[in-house]
Amino acid sequence: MRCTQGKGEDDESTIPWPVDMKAKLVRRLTPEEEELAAKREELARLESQLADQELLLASLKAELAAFEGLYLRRVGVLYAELDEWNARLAELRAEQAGTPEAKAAAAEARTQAEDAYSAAHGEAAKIQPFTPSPDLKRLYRDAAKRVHPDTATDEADRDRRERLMKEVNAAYATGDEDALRRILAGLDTSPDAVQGTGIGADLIRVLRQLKQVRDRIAAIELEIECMSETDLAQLKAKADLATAEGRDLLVEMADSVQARVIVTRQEFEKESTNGTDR
Amino acid sequence: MNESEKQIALVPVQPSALTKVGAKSLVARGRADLRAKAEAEEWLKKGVDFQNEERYEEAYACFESGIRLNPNHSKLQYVLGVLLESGQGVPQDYEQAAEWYRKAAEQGDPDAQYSLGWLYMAGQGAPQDYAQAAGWFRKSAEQGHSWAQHNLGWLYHGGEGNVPQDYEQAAEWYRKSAEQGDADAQESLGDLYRDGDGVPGTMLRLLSGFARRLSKEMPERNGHSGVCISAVTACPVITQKPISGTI
Repeated sequence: MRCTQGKGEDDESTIPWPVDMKAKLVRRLTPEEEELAAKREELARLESQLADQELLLASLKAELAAFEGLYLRRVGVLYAELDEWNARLAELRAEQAGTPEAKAAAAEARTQAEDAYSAAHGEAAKIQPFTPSPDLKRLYRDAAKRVHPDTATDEADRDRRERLMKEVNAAYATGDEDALRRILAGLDTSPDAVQGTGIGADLIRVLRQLKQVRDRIAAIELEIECMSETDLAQLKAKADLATAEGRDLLVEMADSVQARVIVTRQEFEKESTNGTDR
Repeated sequence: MNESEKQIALVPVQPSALTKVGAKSLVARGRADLRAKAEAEEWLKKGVDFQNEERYEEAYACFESGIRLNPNHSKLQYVLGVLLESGQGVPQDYEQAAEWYRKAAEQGDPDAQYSLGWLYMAGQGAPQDYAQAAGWFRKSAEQGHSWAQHNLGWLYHGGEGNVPQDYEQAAEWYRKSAEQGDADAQESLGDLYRDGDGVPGTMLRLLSGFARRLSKEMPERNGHSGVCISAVTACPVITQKPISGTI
């Protein structure tokens, strides 16, 4: 790390400093400068770590969303079908019994069937498998590092970066490499080039950035921990374990819901024929 | 956003069925069903252990707990049928046994298909119907159940009731069972080849072989009047029928 104040550099070409003296002059840093240099180094290291963590978080989110999509298409739709037969059965019974209880049960079963249908066929079900290329990961990491809102210098900058970070995350989740390239190209060549005035101001800014980056890393860790406790993540962990054992958990789940669908449909068909016989 | 605000924002939705909506509720349901299935599996294991220790009442209680958690578990349906058929740990009830066997058999469980076929043959829990018996034996036999293969061969061999006599089919199923090491099927196959012209003595030997096999392989059926009666009632039909044709 060189002294950034660069005093006397203009004279370098004209004044014939002895080689050793020139070297000494360049290396001599004030304690503040040394601290700033050390903090900048630490910041660079943490920013790099943060970019890794952001990549991990974004990947986990995208993998979970993709797994949810797969689950809904394979198993969710069968639950919706099961609920549909349950609703028809309840409606049939309500029609035959005519009691308020039976009618209420039928209405409840119908609501449940509608909810299950829209859940199983909604936007979440359309998400396709997430297989990020090494290029996509590298682009995301670069973009996250450059855009990160927690390394902003002021509020306006922060807002702009937050907006950009959202775009970066969205582009990653959809595997849109071109979007990431566009965002990267649109950024200043070196956002850190904008400096405050004086070492003291620089140091304060770097310390603030350090705190922000550390907070964000801690927040990501917490978010990953919370995410891993959700039903979705637990189910995915089970499915991954089954895959490692050469089984397909979603197929097994689908089979058992399918069996229930068949039983319920048969029950409905039996009762509806009984009804017409009467 | 300060630290505490951030933490609040990150607290996940409470895992309560009421707060789960849409896709989340379907995922939660899948997990709950998986847990119930795993628990039912545990009950099955426990019950089988009790069964092996001949503690049938405990076994039956375990199977009942399991079936409540996973009503479509074909193995649990089958073992419930077994205890009800034999009257072990629970009052004997052929009709209920047949009901459980049917549920499991319809899901493709070869043991249940065999047992249901057997109840049709014996006329226990269901009216005696050899064609039905043959149908279920066939489903089971096609999955490689050697007893079912033997019994299906036996039904074709004798041309029982509403099953048409067919030596080729009989030989085919005996052979499959014999290939799996079923000694009675080997014997029956030998008889079928040797006495292809069909003297009644063959059938009597087959029948006695069948009865012997039953007492050997299914000792719990010993002394079951149903089994003996069904074997004996089958006997006159076989022996009285003039048998012709060769293979």
